[in-house]
Amino acid sequence: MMENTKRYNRQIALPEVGILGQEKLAAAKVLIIGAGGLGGPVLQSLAAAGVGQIGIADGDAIEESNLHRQFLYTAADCEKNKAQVAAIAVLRQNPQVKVFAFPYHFTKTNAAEMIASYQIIVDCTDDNHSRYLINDVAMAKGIPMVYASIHKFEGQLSVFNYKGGPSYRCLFGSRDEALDEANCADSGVLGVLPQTLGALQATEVLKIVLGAGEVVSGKLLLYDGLQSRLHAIAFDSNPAELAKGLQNGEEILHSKKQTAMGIGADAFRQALRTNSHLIIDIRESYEEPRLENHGIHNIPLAQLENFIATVAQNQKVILFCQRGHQSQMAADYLTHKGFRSILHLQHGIEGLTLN
Amino acid sequence: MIVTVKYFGAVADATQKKEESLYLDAKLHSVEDLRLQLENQYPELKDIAYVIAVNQSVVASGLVTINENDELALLPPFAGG
Repeated sequence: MMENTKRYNRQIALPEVGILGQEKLAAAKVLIIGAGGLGGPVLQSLAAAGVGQIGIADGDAIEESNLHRQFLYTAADCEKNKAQVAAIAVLRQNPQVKVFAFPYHFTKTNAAEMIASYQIIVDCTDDNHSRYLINDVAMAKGIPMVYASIHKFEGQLSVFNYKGGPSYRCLFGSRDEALDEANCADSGVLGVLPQTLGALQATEVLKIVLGAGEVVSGKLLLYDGLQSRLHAIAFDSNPAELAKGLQNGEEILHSKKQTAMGIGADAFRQALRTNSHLIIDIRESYEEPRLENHGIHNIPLAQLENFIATVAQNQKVILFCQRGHQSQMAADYLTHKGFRSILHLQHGIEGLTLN
Repeated sequence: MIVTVKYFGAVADATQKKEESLYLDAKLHSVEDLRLQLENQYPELKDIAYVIAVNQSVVASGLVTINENDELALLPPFAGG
């Protein structure tokens, strides 16, 4: 039995929820990928509703141009990681839920680890490459993907892979290689629009957990804010696309190779500022440019093994090199040796200075 | 015959309208015929990925026949979030 349900009284009063439904919500584990315009309202709504465990993943830092549509963030949050700020903000709203922040982008390399303990994935990303990846790993794990995306004044929403239903590939086909659809930065977006779509996504998540109503599966819902219109378009499963997604997802999830996660320039700078990690420059001393910072240890590759023997395996570490290749290999090696939190700077020092 | 075509997202950006009625030659009556006619009229459509629905259902094949008064929709995947 739940101890304190007063906070949820108004939804427990609904026959579709009740005490039993509230307990289902408390036991639910939902992963939100993307903490931007869609991810914010999804996270707030699910936390407020009492969803017991929520993961929020985003490798981006907050920018001033996000603030007109990403209401979780303030001007003072700019340059901080979105997932981390979002997690702290919603925990203030409802300290009864668990929120885990993943300050990384969702990639093939970290997908298996990130989705491991979750039952529903909410796709709040802003690029279709990620959508194919989410679709495929959700299929391989056998869990639903609650999709939404936006364009100017319009939004679209569907739940893929719900109880064996059709997938993202069934609707839009397999076009991973040629992805050039515009995102908000390119085409613009009205600030309230993602709130509407995020609220619809959260509604689908709650319905799935509660087993209430009719989930938007096999249907694409289209919302046009400018014309105040809602359309629903049906679509079928495509066996060839289902097979393709499943195969790709299984390859990604069951890949035996243990690889370490790469981080972007923003996350790296933040780690430098906050002293959150042991940061190691694995380049030789003659490699330029040097990064001047007290927090950085200069340990060339040949000495890394001796040095790391003095470090606890749960120590959070970031490795970097010139271009990200050597740091990837070294990070993979250390991960393989049992270090649990090894990251590396994806494009190396060159990616950092170019930015 | 006359059909109604609805446009969404980047497709509506290319056609500069959300909806229109189109006259189709009686001999040209498949979804593929309509697609070619539209891409001729709006060349930008050739660069956009989209699927086509007839009467609120996505069609799996361009060979599906269109009938008088059908409502079609051109649906691109959106990307923003």
